[in-house]
Amino acid sequence: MLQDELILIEKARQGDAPAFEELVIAYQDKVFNICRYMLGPDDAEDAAQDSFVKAYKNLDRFTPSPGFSAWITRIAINTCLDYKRKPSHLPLAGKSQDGDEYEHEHASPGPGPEAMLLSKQSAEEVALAVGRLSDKLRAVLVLCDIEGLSYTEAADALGISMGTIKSRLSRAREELRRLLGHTREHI
Amino acid sequence: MNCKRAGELFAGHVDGVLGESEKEALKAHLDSCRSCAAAVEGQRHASVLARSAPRFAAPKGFSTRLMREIRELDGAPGLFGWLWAMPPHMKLLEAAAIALVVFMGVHSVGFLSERISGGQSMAVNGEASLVASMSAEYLDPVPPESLADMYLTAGENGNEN
Repeated sequence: MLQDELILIEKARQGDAPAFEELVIAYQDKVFNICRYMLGPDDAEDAAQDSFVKAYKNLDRFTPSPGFSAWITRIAINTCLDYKRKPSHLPLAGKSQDGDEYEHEHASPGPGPEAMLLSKQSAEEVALAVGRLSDKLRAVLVLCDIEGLSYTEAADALGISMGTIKSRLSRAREELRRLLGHTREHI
Repeated sequence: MNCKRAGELFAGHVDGVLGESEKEALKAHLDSCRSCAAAVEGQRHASVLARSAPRFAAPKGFSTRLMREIRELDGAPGLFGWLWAMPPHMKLLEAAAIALVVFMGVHSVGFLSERISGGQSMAVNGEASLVASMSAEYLDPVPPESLADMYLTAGENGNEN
């Protein structure tokens, strides 16, 4: 937890909106990325906005121990799950990915030479395959492999045990490999 | 270690977060189980693929739109929203400027009151004063000896012609 963040949070608690805006700018890509993978392109921005609004309204409940990163991640995941429960929400699979803009950066350290060889098209295939995972598996995979959270941070964010994180991550990777193998067989 | 227990350790093994005892036990199992060894390699490959997934950046103007919504939630008036958005030291300056304007206003009123009360005392003394010049009693709409005065005087006497 950065000391600067604690100062910003304290200022934001006292109604200093520009201080909260600094936190938003620091975490907007992370929150949007999570929402984008969890909900798809249509609801991602609304869910990300709602996540920050919830955080702002509940700043008094924030405690420094998990840190702002884990806290806002948990809020974002819960917001996405709320969106999923809405009857109007459409499943991610089958939605067009056209027109999406994304950064070719990776939060997790050391993707290795194999990953460096993956073309943009391959990255899009992976994004599509991640979108086809079940919500539970996708949440763990997005947090651990795409956002680079530790098992402990992911467990805090999702409110599940470390053991569950490990088993879901294993299953998510197996499923992803199966989906990508299936996709590539048909190219 | 059996295959089920080994499977629970695959993710930790791939991510390099296993403890020494777990690492050794798993290694011993993988040396004797080709199926699990292949599964671990599959996990490693999938992990690399997952980490190659693109990261989506927030759309342009995201924070601006969000902060507008938050300021509306705070109930700050739209027209003067910038006043509420000021940092604390600017708000202090703002308060000081308002206090200065109020002080100057009060001071000006006091000064005028002094002048007025001073004028009244001078009027008592029969001298021209600010109050005397402003008083309605001293206003004469028809100056004496003027044409209008003569007309009015004639009218009162019933001799308009």
